[in-house]
Amino acid sequence: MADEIDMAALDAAAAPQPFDPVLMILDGLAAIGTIWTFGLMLLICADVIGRSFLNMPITGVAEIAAHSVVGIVFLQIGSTIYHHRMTRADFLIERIRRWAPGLGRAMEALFYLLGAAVMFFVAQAAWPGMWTSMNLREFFGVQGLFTVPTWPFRGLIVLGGGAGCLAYLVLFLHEMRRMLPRHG
Amino acid sequence: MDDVTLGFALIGAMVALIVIGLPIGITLISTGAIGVWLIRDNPDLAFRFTAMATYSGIQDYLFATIPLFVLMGLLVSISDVGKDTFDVAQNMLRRVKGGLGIATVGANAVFAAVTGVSIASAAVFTKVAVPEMVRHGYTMRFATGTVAGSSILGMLIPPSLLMIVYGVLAEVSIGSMFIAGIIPGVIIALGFVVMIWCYATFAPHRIMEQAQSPAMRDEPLMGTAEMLGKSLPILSLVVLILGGLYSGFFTPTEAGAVGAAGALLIAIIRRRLDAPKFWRVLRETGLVSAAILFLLIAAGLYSRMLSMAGVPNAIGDFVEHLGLGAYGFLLAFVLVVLLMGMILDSTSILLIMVPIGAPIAQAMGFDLIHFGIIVIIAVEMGLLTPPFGISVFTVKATLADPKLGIETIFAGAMPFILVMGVALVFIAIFPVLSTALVK
Repeated sequence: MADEIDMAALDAAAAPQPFDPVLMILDGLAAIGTIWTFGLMLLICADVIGRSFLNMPITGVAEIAAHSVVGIVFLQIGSTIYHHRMTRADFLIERIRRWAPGLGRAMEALFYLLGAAVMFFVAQAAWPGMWTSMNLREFFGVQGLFTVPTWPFRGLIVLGGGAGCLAYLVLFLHEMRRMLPRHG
Repeated sequence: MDDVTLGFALIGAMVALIVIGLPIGITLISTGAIGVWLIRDNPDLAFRFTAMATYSGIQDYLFATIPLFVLMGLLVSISDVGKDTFDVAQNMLRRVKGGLGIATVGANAVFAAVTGVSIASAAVFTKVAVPEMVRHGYTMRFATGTVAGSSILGMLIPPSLLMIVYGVLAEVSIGSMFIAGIIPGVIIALGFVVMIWCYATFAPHRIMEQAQSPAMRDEPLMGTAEMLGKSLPILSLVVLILGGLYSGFFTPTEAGAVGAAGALLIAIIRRRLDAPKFWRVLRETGLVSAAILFLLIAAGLYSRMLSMAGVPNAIGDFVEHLGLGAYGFLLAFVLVVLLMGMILDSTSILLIMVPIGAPIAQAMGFDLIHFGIIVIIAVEMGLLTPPFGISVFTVKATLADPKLGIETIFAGAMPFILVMGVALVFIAIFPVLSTALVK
């Protein structure tokens, strides 16, 4: 979120985490998206320089940039969810957690479950499109100059939806584990 | 239940879910998809619309501006460019009454031209300006209030993430929004300057603990060469980005990429960046931009559902029926935005309100660029109003001083909110202030 940049995270290395395979998978996916963003920056700069000074524009940068957005979001969304960085209004839930921790946890668990359902729905909605574009050999670009198939991008939406669903489910399990000893 | 009633019921459900703390993207997707399903009585359509929102909806050259501008803002923030700008401004204004306060505003305005995020400004200048102001005898309340207050310039003076989001939602050129923000941003900055000068001249006891600033006399003067050297990096970035955008040489996306590369160069040359830190900057860029872009996907689905239900039309008819007139509608809209600003973050307010408001505003004869600037100023005021004033929280968190209460900073930011309110009225009455440079 534009308002929710964690400036402190820039200064200090994160504390060492206990072994967490889910975190590794999600952060691994996010790392690809991170490198992709940087690569996109370099590509656009190269195009600007080529276009202005060398009279050599790079074909298709705009289209590549447009499709990159899909990759950048969906590769990093799982990690964003897992690090609790999805935007939300927390003024009420914070208070509830303080006054009635049990209720707060239950609400939190419910939110995670809903989140998992929505991310699963996102993946499910993108699934048929991926197969259609694969079968139709859908591509973007200019035929003869450069073409890129679109199905991997649609596949990334499925992957990202799945990663988001996984992230929410694991958060849900953590929350449940924290709730149980109280009642058990 | 007819479609419009259903639409309003879904808006109600959405507001309730957001208020209790369900992530906003999740809320918008679920209410949007359920809405489409119920309105057309066709679950397949909900799937199809969601698939469209996640692929064609987001696959847009303009959306690539978001990660690039976030990256640039973060790189500029860590490269100590903000501190240099403040030092230079402080040196230039040392003989002016309230000079340090004015220097903070001025440095923020310049810094805003290379970053699109208010939070970055708030964090950077809390570290740089607050200790300096307190050392010179200003009260903590005034020092923190000034930093929080002037940080909002970050999103008002282009480039601005909020303008990108607004441009996407209202289908207005982002380049035009950037250009349109320049004059209103300068007006508000000048308003802050005048307000601080008036305090310093007529009521210095309100902002100073000691009448005479103790540290002023024995400060070494900065030479012209040193001042030039310190302001060169940031000024060249400003010229590169604003000049490139204004002349049409860069698209906003290109401006973002070139700006980020420039900021990277500055950070490397000044040795503020090693490999692990660069990786952390990139990671943070990813987390922030993924969250924003996901919100935009969700908002796409939600606004499609709203227009399907005919909600904007219904509100438009209702407003016309009330006989509020264009400015009556604007007033009501701004009030709702201000109210939402008390509990929601700025992007989410835009996501929820612009799809409803922009069609009505256009039908009532507003220029959508003018309308956008007004809405963004109103949203920015929300960054400073309690209980949820994220700029104020950032100042508090960055300072990490347990003796300093959050209420103190809110109180200190109050005069800045008032100035923004006055400027908002002024800018609303004179559309030419927003549109002059664009045309």
